[in-house]
Amino acid sequence: GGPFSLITHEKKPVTDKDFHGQWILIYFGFTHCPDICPEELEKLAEVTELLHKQKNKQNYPFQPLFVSVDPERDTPELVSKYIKDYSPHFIGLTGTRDQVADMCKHYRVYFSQGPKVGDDYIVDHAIVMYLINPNGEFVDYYGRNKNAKEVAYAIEQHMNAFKESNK
Amino acid sequence: MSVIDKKYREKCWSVRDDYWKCLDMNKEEKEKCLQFRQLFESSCPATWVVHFDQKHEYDIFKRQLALGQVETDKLKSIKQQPKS
Repeated sequence: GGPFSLITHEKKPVTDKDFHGQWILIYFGFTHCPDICPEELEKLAEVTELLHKQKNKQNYPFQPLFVSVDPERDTPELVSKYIKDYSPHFIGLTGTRDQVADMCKHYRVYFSQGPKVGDDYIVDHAIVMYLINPNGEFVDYYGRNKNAKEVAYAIEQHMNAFKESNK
Repeated sequence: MSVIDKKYREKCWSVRDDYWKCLDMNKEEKEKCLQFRQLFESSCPATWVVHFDQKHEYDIFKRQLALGQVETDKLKSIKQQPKS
């Protein structure tokens, strides 16, 4: 984990510090993604729903984040339109190439623009969701092999542990 | 409509699945599925067609591996490829 400085799909500049006090689950992807990002975002939406059901047991809110690894194409407007199809709770983040590259470096997320077909291309990237706790610390990560229930359950365990250690 | 629209994506996946179903029923003989292929190519961006074609090849290969249908020569040549 680490610092980041991007803008939201509503064009609001944010940094990692703006998310302190929340549990954040970050998925890195891009709007022109053929299949994997839609599947993972459906999963992220389901995780969000599962966790929000237990809201009253949680001390800190859960916030799902989508971060674009395609800064050339993914404007805030595009990201906004894209994430709305998955969940009203998502915040989408994008930025300049340098801002995105910087965050990906800190989060060890590989991404690379694939071969162009005309103007179009697919971005090859690591498929992962990162969990950050309310102190801004990296806590866990989840790959394609975990389904929504498994991810939500794992997060709940972390939330409980965090609650205990902060009594 | 573009890939940003959910309906566009779902249409593309649906015609892609129809094409794959046709191939499956015709032992992967592409000539038997030309109409499905045309619909697939016109409903999805070119980059996605390339991506899904690669995925399909890979899925078939995985299936063949599982069924023990891959010839040892092919396996050998894969094992000799430098690890990426």
